[in-house]
This record gives sequence, C-alpha cells and structure tokens, in this order.
Amino acid sequence: MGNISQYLSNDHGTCDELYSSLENIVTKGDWEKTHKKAQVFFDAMEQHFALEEEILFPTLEDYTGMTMGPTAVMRMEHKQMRVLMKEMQEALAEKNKDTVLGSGETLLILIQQHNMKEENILYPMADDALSEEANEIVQRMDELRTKMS
Amino acid sequence: MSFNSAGLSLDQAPPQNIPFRFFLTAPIFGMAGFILMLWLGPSVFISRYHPGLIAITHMLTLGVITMTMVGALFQLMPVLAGSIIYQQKFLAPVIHIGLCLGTIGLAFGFFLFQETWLKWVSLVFLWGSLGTFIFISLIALFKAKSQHSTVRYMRLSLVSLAVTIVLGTFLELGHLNFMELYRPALTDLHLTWGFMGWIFLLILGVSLQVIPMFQVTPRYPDWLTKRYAPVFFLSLCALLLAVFNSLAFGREEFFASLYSALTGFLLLLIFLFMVATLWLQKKRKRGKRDILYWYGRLAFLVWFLGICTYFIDQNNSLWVHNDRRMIVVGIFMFWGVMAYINGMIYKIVPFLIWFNLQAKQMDAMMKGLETPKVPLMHEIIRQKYMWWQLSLFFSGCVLLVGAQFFTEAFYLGVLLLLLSYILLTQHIFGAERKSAYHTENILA
Repeated sequence: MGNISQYLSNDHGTCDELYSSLENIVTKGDWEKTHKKAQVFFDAMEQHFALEEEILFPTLEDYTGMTMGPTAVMRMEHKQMRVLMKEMQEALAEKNKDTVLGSGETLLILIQQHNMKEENILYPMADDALSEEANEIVQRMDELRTKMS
Repeated sequence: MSFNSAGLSLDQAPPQNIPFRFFLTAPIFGMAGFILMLWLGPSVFISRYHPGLIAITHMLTLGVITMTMVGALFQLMPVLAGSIIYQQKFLAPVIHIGLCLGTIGLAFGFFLFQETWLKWVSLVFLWGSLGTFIFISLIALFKAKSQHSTVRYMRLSLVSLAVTIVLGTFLELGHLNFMELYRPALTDLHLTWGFMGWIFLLILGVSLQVIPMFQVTPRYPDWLTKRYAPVFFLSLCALLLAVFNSLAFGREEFFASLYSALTGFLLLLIFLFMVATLWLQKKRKRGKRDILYWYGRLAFLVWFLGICTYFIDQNNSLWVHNDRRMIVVGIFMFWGVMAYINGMIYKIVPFLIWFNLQAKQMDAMMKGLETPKVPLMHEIIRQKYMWWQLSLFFSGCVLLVGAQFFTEAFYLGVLLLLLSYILLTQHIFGAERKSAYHTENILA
C-alpha cells in the first residue's frame, strides 16, 4: 500500500469507529452523550472530505486533466453523504431515535461502498500516478488537518 | 502509466434494472421449488437420485442461488474491481432469460423424465447463458486494474462454476444414455464443485470485503486473503483428479480414501473461515445486530451442523442408508447458503433503490427543481417484516430436517418455507414498486 492509500484508508477506519460508537450510544438512548459523539463524528467526516476535495482530488485532476472523471463521482457521493448527515442532525435535534438509526444505517452503507471504491480503485491509482509527490501530499493533508482541528 | 489508460471510471455501477431482474426472479423460483416439493410429497426424500428431488435442487441452486449470485456479480464487479463488463446492457437480459429457460427446462426434464428434447434444450440454454456470463466476467476480472483478494476469489469461483457445469453436462449425457452415468462419483464431484467452488468461494470472497465494512470489524487475517484460496482450489482439483483416476484405472479403495480425506480437509477449511469470521465479529466495534448479522449467524450454525453430520460414521444406525445422511448434510448446506443469500438480498436491494433514487434526486436538485424526500433503507423494507421472513424460513428448515426422521413434519415444514419465499417475493416486489413510485415523483 502506498503512502496516500495508507493515510486516507486509516482515516476511513477512524470514521467507521466513530460512527459505531455513536450508534451504540444512540441505541442506549443517552441523548446527552449522543450530541457530543455526533459532533465528533460529523467533524471527522468533514475533515476527511476536505482532505480529498481540497488536496487529493485537485492534484489528481491537474495530473489527468479530467474533472468529470472518477473524482467527480466521489465528490457527488460526498454530497449524498452530506444530505444524510443533515437528515441525521435534524433527527438528533428532534431526539427521534428511529430516524437517527435509519438514516445512520443508510449513511454507513453509503460510506462503506464509497470507501470500497476509493480504497480498491481510486487510492491505488493516486499512489501510482502521484508516487513522486506522495510525501508532499501527505504532509499537506497533515497541515490541513491541524488547521481544521 | 497514465491515470486513464486503464479505462477506469468509478461511475460504472450498472443501471438498477440489471441486478434487479435477477433479484426479482430468484424468490419466484424459490416459491416454485417449494410448491413442487409440496406437490411431490415426502417421498422425494427417499433417495438423493429421486428425479423430483433433482428437479427441486436445480430450481433452488440455479433458480435461486445462481440467479442471485449472477445479479450480485453484475453489481459488484464494477464496484470492487472497477472493470467494465462487456455489453452488459444487452447481455444481462439475454443471460437472464437463458438462465430462466434453462432452469425451467432442466427441472421439467427431470420431472417429466422421458422428455429427452427438453434436456437438450435446457443444456443449450444453460451453456449459452452461464457460459457467456463466465466468459465476460472472467475477461472483466482479468482486465481489472485492482487485483485484490476478492477479485482472485471471484475468478476461482467462476472457474469452479464452469467445472460444475461441465460435470453436470456429463451427468446429463449419462441420463441421455450417451455415456455411462457414473454415480455416485460424478454426482458427488458435481455438487462439491458447485457448493464449495462456485458458491462458497464467492461467498467467502465477498465476505472478505463486506463483513469488515458493514459490521465494522478488523480486516480478515492474511492467511485467509492470500494462501487460503489457492489451497482450497487445488484441493478441489485434487478431488477431481482422484475421481477421474479411479474411474480410469480402478484402485477404487485407494482413491475412495483419498477422496474422503480431501473432502474432510475442505470442510475443515470452511470451518476455519467460520472461526475467523466469528473471531472478527467478536472484535467488532459496531454493537447493532442487523438482519444480515443474524442470517449470517444462522448460516454458520447450520453449516457447522452439516459438517458435523458429514463426519458421523455412515454406518451409524441413525441413517438407515447412506443416502439419508447425505440428504441431511445437503439440507444443512443448502439452508446455510440460502440464509446467507437471503440476508445479503435484504441489505443490497434497499440500498440500491435508495442509492439510485438519491442520485436522481441530486440530479433534479442540480437543475434547481424541488424534489420530495427519498425514503431511507429501513423505510423501503421494514425490519419487522424481515424478521417474520427469517422466522418462517428458520422454522421451515428445522421441520424439513426433522422430516427426514418423522415424515409428519414434512408438509408443515415445506409450507413454512413456501410462505417465507412468498414473503420475500412480496418484499422485493414491494421495494421495486416503491422505487418506481418515488422515481415518478422525482421526475414529476
């Protein structure tokens, strides 16, 4: 696994774990803790989107000269995730457990199949195409992450 | 290598109707299979060679299991391997119709027994449809840029399907009196390659991706993603060679013990996969246990029982004759596969519908149109109804195993199984109707 793959795949793992612990808390019905956990999860998601949308995708698009290719599909799926995250937030505000879990379940599956495409196809392509500047890209991602948190 | 020279795009998920035509047909074959079983009565289990039982078995293996797996592969190959399947919009419907007609022909060919022409026609349809499918899928998988473990498992599984069909054809030619009908050697080989090669290797390969992702577990260990597949496949090949050598050169006793040893080894490998999965699930981060989790557990439990039954001495007085032991093993193995597939369908169908509706909604939003809300997965098929289906399926299977010892359980068991498939059919068609309804709303 190349540097870029490694870095971003690890990030997927973190988001998965954050979601699972959020789901566990929602199931228990502890709304106090839920709101905090939910915020941590949503922030981690937005941070990951930013790493891709602001650093990885533009670099790849510059390299290939394609803006309507795979990166466009990934951006589109990020948008779909944001719609679900918004639905989840609304349901959280209403303390509607069924809708939180329902939209969460749909979000989780969307995330998983999206990650599958990125980890199996897009990241390896990026590792291949951007092997020379990989270290620098990872460094820029680290900087953006620090800036956001 | 340039970024786009591999001809890859991530927007290759096929149109919804490609996998759905297979998913919508599969439960109908399930209903048909159990109706046939009801009609023929408990006597179908008298022998594993009962023509009615062979007809029902093929309605379930080809009509339900293979039908669903072909549909799922059309969906998964582009997503997992990023490869384009040649002419899929044209070939998927053709393969679908060929598989339907071939399965019906094969089942009726056995059932009506004398109809030789039906057997020939069904062979042509099955070779045409599955042969084409194997061919285009293998091309897509070999060309795939991404050659991870699931892609390798899929390839071995498809090769196993080809071997299963060749062995099945030998058997059919035996029925047609073109060659000797080598029973039970060829029958055993045919179903071992079908079950362990085609079905199990695919289930395993897909699980490697799906279980860690949906249940948020650690990844499968390296021995399962790397060495396991070739060892498993070579053992299957050794099994084939053992049987052909024994048919050609005699020395039956030697090859028979080799055969049992290899089968035992393969069952042990399946057992190892189950242990690894249970171990991962024990370490899972996600507490929620959904329908797929329970269906998966159920599958493992009955596979375990099936493996144990296989190792019970065939001279045990419980069996009366060896056929009964093999039938019980068969029911357990089938039960597990159908449970696993049933669970997957309940996950995949609502997701694909939601995904496609959402994509249409986003499209409309980009054009600045107001759109109604899209139903979420749990609103497309209600969890509660899935539990009903699982309970009916589970009780039906318990009774069917019981019916091997107490015939009285037969009718109720098959009736429950039939009901579970009626429910499944209703759920999938209901989901499809919701999809059509919301699509219309969005477009309006």
